[in-house]
Order: sequence, then structure tokens, then C-alpha cells
Amino acid sequence: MRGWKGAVIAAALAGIVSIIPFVGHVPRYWLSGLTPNISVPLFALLVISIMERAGCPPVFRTREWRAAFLFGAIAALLLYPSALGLGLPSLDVYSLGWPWLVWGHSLVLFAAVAAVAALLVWRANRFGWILVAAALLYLPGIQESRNFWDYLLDPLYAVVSLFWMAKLAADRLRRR
Amino acid sequence: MTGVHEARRMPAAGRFALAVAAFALVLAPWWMAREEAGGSFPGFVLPTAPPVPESEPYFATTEINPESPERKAHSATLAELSDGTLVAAWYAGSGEGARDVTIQMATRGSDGLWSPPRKIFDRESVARSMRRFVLSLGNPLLLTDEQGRLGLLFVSIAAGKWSGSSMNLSWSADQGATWSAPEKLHLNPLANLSALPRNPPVALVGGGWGVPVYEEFFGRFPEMLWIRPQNPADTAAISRMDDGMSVFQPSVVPLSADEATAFYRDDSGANCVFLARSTDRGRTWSHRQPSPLPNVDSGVCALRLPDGRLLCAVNESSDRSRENLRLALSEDGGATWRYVATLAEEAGQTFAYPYMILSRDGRVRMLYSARDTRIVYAEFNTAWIDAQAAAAGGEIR
Repeated sequence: MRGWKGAVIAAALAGIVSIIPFVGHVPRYWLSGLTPNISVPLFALLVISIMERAGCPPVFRTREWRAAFLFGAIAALLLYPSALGLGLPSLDVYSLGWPWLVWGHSLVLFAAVAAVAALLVWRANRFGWILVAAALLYLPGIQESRNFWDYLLDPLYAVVSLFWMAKLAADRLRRR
Repeated sequence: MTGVHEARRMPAAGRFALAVAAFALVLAPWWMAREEAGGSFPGFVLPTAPPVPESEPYFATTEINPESPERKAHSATLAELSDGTLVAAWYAGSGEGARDVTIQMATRGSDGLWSPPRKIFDRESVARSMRRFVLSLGNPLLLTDEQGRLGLLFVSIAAGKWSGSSMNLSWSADQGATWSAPEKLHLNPLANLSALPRNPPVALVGGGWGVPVYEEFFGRFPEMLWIRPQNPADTAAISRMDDGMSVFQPSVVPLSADEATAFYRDDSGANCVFLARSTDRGRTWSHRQPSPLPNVDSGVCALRLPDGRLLCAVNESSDRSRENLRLALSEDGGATWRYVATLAEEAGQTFAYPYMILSRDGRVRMLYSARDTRIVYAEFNTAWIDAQAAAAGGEIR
């Protein structure tokens, strides 16, 4: 009950802050200049996290959180170095997310994510359904971007995932 | 994270099949249209020119914003409409990345006179229509199609300077008199930072354009932006041309429907223009090769003359000054070059960002920034180039 109260108060505060103009504009105006949309996994993780903290029955077990952060970290390491211009032009990872650009190449990305999602749901890992949701939401194009990568990953999700991976690695080293 | 409710579960095989089916569903539209998807690189359209070139040399030049009060006018772009009207656009304000920068436009009709410049976008109007913060504007680029429609790519800066920019696309059906609300193009996974247009687009077979663009967020590198207005749901995509630390601001010159040469601005310290070649309609590009053309981090622009020779506008300098702007000609596909003309030269001044197109009458139409504040228009024909070449010096080494 305490969790619900906290969540309601937090949501009310967030709602008020989101409509209070700052220098003439609401916060969304300032934020959307850089980040118009967040990825589907990050949105889902935030919702699940808020629900769990509010006292709802847990949706994710440890292995699901682990799968989510591992996916984010691996995707970030695959995508961002190339997007920053590092590596060969032939490793143009971001262009795989436009299926109409190079159909055969995009198939690699979609097939890889489908394989990960299918494997996770096979093993009853609920993060797999979030990847399925990302693919389904790509079809109608709910984001400003039409690149599939932007439905899977965003810089904030990447930073959180990489931080989690670094912490995990540090913990394991410490235990040795 | 423990004690998760275990509802009645679907069998593992069922879940697996459902997940795979979901992805199959997502891919189905592109699977069915994969033949068209293969047409994402449909080939380049070569500019048309009259069969009989002019025999008399012609050269004329004029400033198109002689009265403009702004301290900075830069990055001009030029397009020819189907009726022969020329449209020019550039950005102007108190400085690069300044809040008062506006996108300005002027036209030149059959009377041969440029209209007074007028502002078509400012940061407030762009911010209002896109409902997001815009710090400044920059780098416009005009697109024209056979239906007479005019497109305008330009960047808006959300933070910092050019590294904080992203690209927008607006359309006009009345020769630039009115413009649609700009649409944001999402072209980069890192908060959509930062793609910029600079050099002329290349028309594609069946419609659309390949636009040479570049990024300068972490590293600077060249890319091709593929715009397909005939497919409103999936208008734009981008593909890389080279790695991220050496060259940028490509100028792409189609040689045939399948082949093109790219001229790159140097960012490696080699102090020369780099060239690359595509033989698969722009999908992939060869590794860059140094050319004899000098370049110390300044914009270049090249085009193919109707007789197949290549013309390139460059700053000849051994440092970062841009005190001259010269035309160089190659008669062997870019292997060797010689200067044929100097368009501008003055100590202590800046002449930069050349932009050249070949108009339907076979003449070269050109814009460049002069003395930071002026946009200069130059027009010449191949007879003038030939006359200049006859008196020109030797090969650039």
C-alpha cells in the first residue's frame, strides 16, 4: 500500500513538472530536441521497475533483468562504435535497420533479434516478449525513426546496460 | 525480483513459434517488396545538356545578397526548376551556430536578375512546427524533381554546434513561395546527431535523390542519404562511404547510371582532395585515394561536363586560409588535373564552399561564399572553360 502511495505521489509530481513551462516551454520541448523517443525495451523496463517499486507483483526475475541488460550492452557495443564512424564502412551496422535499403543485410539484424527473442521465450524469459513487442511496434512506426535499431536501443538504455555489465565484471574480478 | 507469478504457461514450443511468427509478420511487407527494395540503389541520372554546345565563351558573375546586413552568409545551394528558374538558398546570421541564423532564399527568372533575398525559416518557426528546442539552423540543400516540386534539406542544431545538428526536410509546390512544415529525418542512433548536407544531390532513376552528406559528432565521415519521396512511409535512409577519421563533405559526380566518383574534403592532414569510386550505383565505395588537388580542410565541389571532363572547384592553399577559389580540370577521369581559372583571389579574405550544377542549357551555374558575408553567383559555359584551359599552366603536382 505504501508503494502505491509513493507511486501516485511520484506520478503526480512528474505530471506537474512535465507541464510547468521552463523558460517558456514544457520540459518535453527541451528534451525532444535531442531524444524524441526512447527504445521499446527501456520504456518497458521503466514501466516494470515503477510497477515493482509500487508494490505490484514482480514481473521480472533476476534472469530477466540480466537478459535485458546483457542485450542492451551487446547491442550498444555492436552499434555505437560503427555509428561514431569507427571501423570499416562495410561494417555499417546502423544501415541494417532499414529493411528497404539493403534487404539482405537487414534480414541479418531481424533474424538475429528474432533468434534471441525466440530463444528467450522458449526458455520462459519474459524479456523475449519485449523484443517481440519492439518488432511489432516497428511495423506501424510508432517512433520518429524508421530504423529498427532505434526500437531496440537508445543511448540511455545503452549506458545503463554497459554500467551494469561493468559492475558485473568488477564484482566477478573482486570475488577471485 | 523474486516470487514472480507463474500463470498457466503456453508450451515452450508454442511461445517459440509465436515469437518467430511475430518477426515474420514484421518482415512480411519488405519481403513482398524485396524486388523494389533492391531498387534502393536504382542508378544515377546524368544531367542532360544540349547536343550542340555554345561556341562563344560566356562568363558572368554577380553577388546575390549585396545588401544583406548579416555578418555571416554561407553554405549556399542552387537548383534549376523545370522552367529554367534558378533557386538559391543559404544560411545567414551573426555567425555559425548563432541563434539569429535564418535560411534565406532568392530566385532568378528569365530576366536574369536575382530577387532580393527573403527568409524562409528561422529557429523559432522550425521549433514551433516541430515542437522541440532549436538552437540554430544551417546548411540548406535544395532538391528539384521533374514535377516542379522543390525540396529543402537543412539542419537544426539542438545543442552545441554542428555536432549537435540533425536534418530536416521541407517541400514547396509553388517554387519556394510557401513551404511545408519541416519533417525531422532520423539518421543516427546517437540522439540523431549529426548529419549535414553540403554538396549537390544526384537524381536517381525512377525518382528520388542520393544526397552526399557527412557526420561530425565524434569523427567526421562521408555518407550517402537516400531520399525516396515516392515512398512516404520510408522516405530516408543513410549509408556510409568511408571511415570516420579522415575525410568528409563528399561531392558525388555520376559518370554513368552505375558509376560515380566522390571527391572528399580532407580531415586527415594529408592536405589533398581524396577520391573514391562506386561501381554499384552508390551502394559501396572504394577506399579513398589521394588526388593531386590541394585541400586543407576546405569544401570542394565537382561536376562532370557534358563532354566527360571533370571540373572541380578548390581553394589552393598550404594552410587553412581560403584566399582564393580556383577551377581545376581533368581530362582523364580525375588522374591528372590543371588549374584553368581563378574565380576569386584576395589576401586576407575568404572564398569558400563552392556549389556547382550543370543546367539544362549546358552551362555551369555556381555559388560560393565570399568575404564571409556575400553569396556570389557565377555562370559560364564550356567554351569559356576551353578558352581558359588554352591559356592555363601545367599539371598540378
